[in-house]
Amino acid sequence: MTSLKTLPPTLREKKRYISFKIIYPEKLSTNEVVQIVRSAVINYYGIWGCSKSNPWLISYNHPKGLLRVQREEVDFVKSALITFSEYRDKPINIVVLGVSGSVKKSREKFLKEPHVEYYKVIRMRKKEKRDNYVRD
Amino acid sequence: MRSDDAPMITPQNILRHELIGLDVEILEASNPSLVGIKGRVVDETRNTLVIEKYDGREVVVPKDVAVFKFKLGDKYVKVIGSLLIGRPEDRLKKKIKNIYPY
Amino acid sequence: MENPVDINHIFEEEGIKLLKELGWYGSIVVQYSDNYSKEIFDKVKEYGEKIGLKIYTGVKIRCESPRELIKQVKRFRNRIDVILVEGGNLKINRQALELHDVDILSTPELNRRDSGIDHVLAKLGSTYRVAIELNFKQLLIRKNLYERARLLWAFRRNMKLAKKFDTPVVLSSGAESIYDIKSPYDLRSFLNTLTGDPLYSKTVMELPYKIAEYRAYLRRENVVRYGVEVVEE
Repeated sequence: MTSLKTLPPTLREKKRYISFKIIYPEKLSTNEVVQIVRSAVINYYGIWGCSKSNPWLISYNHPKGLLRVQREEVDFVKSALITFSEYRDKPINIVVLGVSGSVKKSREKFLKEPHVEYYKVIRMRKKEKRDNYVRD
Repeated sequence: MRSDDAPMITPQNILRHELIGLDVEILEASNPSLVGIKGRVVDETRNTLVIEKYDGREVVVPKDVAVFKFKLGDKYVKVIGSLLIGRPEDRLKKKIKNIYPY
Repeated sequence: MENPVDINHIFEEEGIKLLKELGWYGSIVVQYSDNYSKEIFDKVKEYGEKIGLKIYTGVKIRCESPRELIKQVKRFRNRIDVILVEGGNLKINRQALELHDVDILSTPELNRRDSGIDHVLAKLGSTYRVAIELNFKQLLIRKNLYERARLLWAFRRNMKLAKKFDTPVVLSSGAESIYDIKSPYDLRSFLNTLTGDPLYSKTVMELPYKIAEYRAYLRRENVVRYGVEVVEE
């Protein structure tokens, strides 16, 4: 029933947040961007490298997005993103805006989006689900 | 050998010309006590210039650590010292060195 | 990293705006020697001044034989800031590395099975101060994954030789459209992954600025050769 306990800070995995922007003729959805990032890292760095760097997309609002990576592999993931040049027969360009240690600072400095705390987001989603259920 | 004679010293041939007798000032040097010395060149060897200051003292200055400013007629020419390395008789017969800042 | 300068083929206003937004200080705009026109350079300098990006001019020379190379270099030397030579042929590589008028030798591994530079050529490049360019656009053009890996092998070998013999090295994005423009910090991390030395990749990124400033300094009126200057007082 219970899940694994969160590790103490000394044993936790150290992470960095990469904020990026995509230049592409069409609008892309979140699932497509997840595919793009995963195949870019695997094609440049291999399956073993993708396991070391553990990329995870946190949010994507066209054209800007936020990606979480291991702290030691930031250089390799940045190089992997710039070698990805074509998607569905159209040219694509992934531009990295900056690297930061926390989500709040990267939203303020690089993405220029308003930052909402995660517990408030969960609360809002629960409220929406309840409202939709009540309406039905 | 008088130096202010025809054919004139021009900035083009200062690297091959005789330097004894020219007025000189040191603009920059890696040894801070050499900066600002003004005087006249009295002697020249392969790596140094002997400059006599206006108050009579003679100073021996190595060539490749300083930037010199020579006076030719009414113009001043700034020369990096490493280009002047060589005995005067060797420099006369075409010893042109190419240096780069990177 | 002070004043990163890029080498590319971008002539439009949109591209120059993106270059400034990503953090470049200046850009060397390069045209091929076959179809060279002066108006494009004037237009690009105008866009650069409007946005605040420093523009230097450059020409990339392509030819068949070493003698033709010497003629073309003499033709362009007094009108252009930076001269690049497209390598690939061993004779042209050698002749370009021996002329001190040439600044950069691009892509020594184009159309070749080996890497293009050996220790003799690296020593020549070091005495005549000709830089070797690693062109990033070649990596994006090749679709086959093994070709990309072979190109990275050639980059690594040339960098190892250049580091040993103290030859200057330059990394350029070689962008031709807005989809190829990369940010300077990205290129620096790419160099970090190729060799494990962050300080060496910093010197590689700072080199195009030094080359462009050296050539712009030589074109000033009161400068006779490097180190000799006429000063008024």
